[in-house]
Amino acid sequence: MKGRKRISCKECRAGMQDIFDRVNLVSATDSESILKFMPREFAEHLEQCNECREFFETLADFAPALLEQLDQAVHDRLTPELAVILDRQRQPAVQQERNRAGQVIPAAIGKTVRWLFGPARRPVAALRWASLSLAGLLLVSGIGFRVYTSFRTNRTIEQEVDRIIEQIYQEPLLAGIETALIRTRADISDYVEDLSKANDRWLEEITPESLLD
Amino acid sequence: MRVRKRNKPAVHGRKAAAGALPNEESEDFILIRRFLRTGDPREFRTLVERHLPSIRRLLYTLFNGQREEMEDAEQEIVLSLFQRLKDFQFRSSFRTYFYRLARNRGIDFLRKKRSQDRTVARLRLDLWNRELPGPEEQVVHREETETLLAVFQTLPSKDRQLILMKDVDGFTLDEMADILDVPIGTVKSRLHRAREKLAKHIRGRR
Repeated sequence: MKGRKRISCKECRAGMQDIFDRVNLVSATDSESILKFMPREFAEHLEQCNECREFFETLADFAPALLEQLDQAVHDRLTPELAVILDRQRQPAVQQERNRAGQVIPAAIGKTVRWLFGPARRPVAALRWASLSLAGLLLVSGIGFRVYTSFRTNRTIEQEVDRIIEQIYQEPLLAGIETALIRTRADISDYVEDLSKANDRWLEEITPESLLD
Repeated sequence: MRVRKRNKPAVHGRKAAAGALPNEESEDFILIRRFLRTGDPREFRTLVERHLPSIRRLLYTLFNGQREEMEDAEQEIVLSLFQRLKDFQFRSSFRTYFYRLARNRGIDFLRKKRSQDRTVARLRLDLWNRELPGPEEQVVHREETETLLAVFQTLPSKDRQLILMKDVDGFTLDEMADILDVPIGTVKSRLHRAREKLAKHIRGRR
């Protein structure tokens, strides 16, 4: 032992943990086999330190026992076999849940892709591609026709609006408006002149006596 | 140095816990591809049954052995896998994928259940009407209180999950980091702390 570096309990336990990380504790059949992985100074420390030895034995031994007890406990509780669970999945309520809206579209896409690219004889595959191409052509033509008709309607409306505006601003119509405006101005001046004359007449005729009456 | 020898553990559950070997991995992939191609539920059943023991152990750990919750969560997990399997990318191991799915679903289920329980407790406030466990459950509970499992159940849920994943189900630290979505160093330090706690609890019971 002389001349060899002695390791502390902390170092020994850290080293043991590293070993436990590397080995499969359930598969290792006895703790001696785990000890073989350890450097000699660890083994020597375990011989001298009861606490560390107990720590080593506890951790090297617990896994298989725990596995057995866990499996027994699970067995006591979970009696239904997987077949029962899978049968439950075929029940209508579960099926309904599976076919929610979010899954319908991907499922439909997947089905189409499988239908199109799935293994099939050459004539069947050709028929599938032809029908898909025809459907695509019809879709594109439909969209094109709809775009053309809406463009044509808009164009007709624009033309109608232009025509109406043009009619409104025709020359003779504007001339008539000007004449009407001039006439109106003359009528007002006549009215104002008459009003002024009547006012003068009233002022000339008035006397203090008449006001006292 | 004398180290206590232990008996060879029973074969029950050992195979599932031994970790995913490459050929097991490829068997999973074959089953998935067959199921996706044919839609045969038997393929799905075989695939799930290969990993069900470790998923059930996880559920026991998450739900503290509450039977009804374990059953409901298991059904939800299997249903979820059934719906999502078509999106599996074949890039990672199926075992890790399924375990991560089960853990996330289980935790969601637990949160939902806790929230419902709180609401119900607030509304009812009749502690005396609480349903007592049946005789069978009482026997099971009594038997388990003296075991290593009982000590294990006293640990916090996160510590239990780490120990279960590494030491019982044999996941590697890389796989655990993938499942838990944390760096590998974090997994390692948390796992070491969890083991120390477990060792302390076991010593305390002796």
